[in-house]
Amino acid sequence: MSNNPLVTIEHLSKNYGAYPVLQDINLRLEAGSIVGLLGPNGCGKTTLMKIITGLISDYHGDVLIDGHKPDIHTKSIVSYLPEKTYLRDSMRPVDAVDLFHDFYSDFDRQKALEMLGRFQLDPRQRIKSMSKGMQEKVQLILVMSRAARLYLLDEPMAGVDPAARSVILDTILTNYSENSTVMLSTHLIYDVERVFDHVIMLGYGKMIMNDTVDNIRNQTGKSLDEVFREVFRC
Amino acid sequence: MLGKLIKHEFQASSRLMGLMVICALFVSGITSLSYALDIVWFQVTSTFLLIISAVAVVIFTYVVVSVRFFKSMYSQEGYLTMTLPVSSSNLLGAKVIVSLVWLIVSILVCVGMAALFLLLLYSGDGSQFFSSIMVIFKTVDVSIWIQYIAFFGGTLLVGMIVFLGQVFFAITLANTAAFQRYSIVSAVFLYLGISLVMSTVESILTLFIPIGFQMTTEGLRLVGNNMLGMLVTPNSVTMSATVGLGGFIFQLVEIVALFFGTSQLIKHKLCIR
Repeated sequence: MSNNPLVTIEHLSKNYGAYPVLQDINLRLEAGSIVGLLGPNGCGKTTLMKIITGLISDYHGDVLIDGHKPDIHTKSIVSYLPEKTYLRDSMRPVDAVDLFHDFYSDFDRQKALEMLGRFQLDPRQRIKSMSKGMQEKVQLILVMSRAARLYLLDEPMAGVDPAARSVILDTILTNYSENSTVMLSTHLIYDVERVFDHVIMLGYGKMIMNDTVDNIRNQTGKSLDEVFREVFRC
Repeated sequence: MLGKLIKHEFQASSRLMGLMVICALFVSGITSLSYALDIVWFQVTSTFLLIISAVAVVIFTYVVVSVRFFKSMYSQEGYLTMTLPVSSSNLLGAKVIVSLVWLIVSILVCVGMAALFLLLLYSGDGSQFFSSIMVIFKTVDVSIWIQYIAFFGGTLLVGMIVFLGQVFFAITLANTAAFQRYSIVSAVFLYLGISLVMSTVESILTLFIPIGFQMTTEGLRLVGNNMLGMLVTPNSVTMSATVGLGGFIFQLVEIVALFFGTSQLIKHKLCIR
């Protein structure tokens, strides 16, 4: 395993047209932690994740994952769960499992098929005929069946019922490798703050907070949810 | 990785393309039935449908490969495609190979439907039809036919690859930050613009560059004439036609430039929304 920090970001800036989404972001992530990426809508959480995954390549600054700029190597060690459904409508879960098995050497096909069974998802049902919650679960299973070094989960619990949220969170916690890092963005801070080791809070394109959860609680005497509400009070 | 990309790309596109082939076979079957039943209005209608379908198959395939490229690379599917641990050149290579196969299939389907049309014109008399074909073929030696088929087949193949290069480049450019706000409209206009400019340059080079193939009954001859000279020469009607190669050579350069440009845009200017 490399001795580099898993993720190093220096002076990262990204604009959409004239609108600055990320301004001079600096951050280092070490392996083996669960990181909460928090912030209001439009603050740049998804953009940051997309830059790390290589979905956005026109930005300013330096982004290194395991010492590499986003490239084939980083894509092989990063497992990304976007907010959107990225599987083709005509695909079936078994087709998606085959695809992941073909392209990712760290993908555990058997684990994925077992998880599909546990979630009572029909491997031969077309994605377009599944509910949003079912589609989310399929994608989560694919992502978490990889032994990746960095998991990027963008709003994995958005738009699903509380019971399903609990299942998704348990799936994440029980299936990631302990030497890996999970970065999870969410608005549902109250539900997930108990699992975070570290928190990055973005706002107005800038990094407002980058600290361990324990430090934040000790310094403020408040929960993350309360701190978030205070910082982004309307 | 290229093989795996090709496999999955075929899986993704085969449903729609398979449906197209089935529809073409259905129309061909209906048309054949109409001639077997010898009902005039049915014959006329189905023949018209056959001709329209033969053209539609090709146009449909060109549209489908273009839309498929956009959807798989720059829509929501792009979140999966662009995070696969493969190089942009492998991604593009797989797209080109699969798209080319479907374009060739559509041409073969079109030719098949055209052959059926001609066969039906001979009142379904297959032996007379094929005898007529053989008479035409026997006017020149087989090796000369091979030369002409290879030349025109190669020209058609290069033309298809040029189309794919222009479309892929236009769609990729339309999905960079500068054009992304109106990416679909931008892609159409960028393609039309690129196609117009490249076609103009190809035509000029075809007419003026003094290298070409002269088409004779003894086969193709490489000559140092330009096509414009052949066209304006007073005896051009009786002379063997010369096809300028300048445009063809430009197309080969264009293919390399367009795919290299597309790959570079993906590497450095990608911005999946």
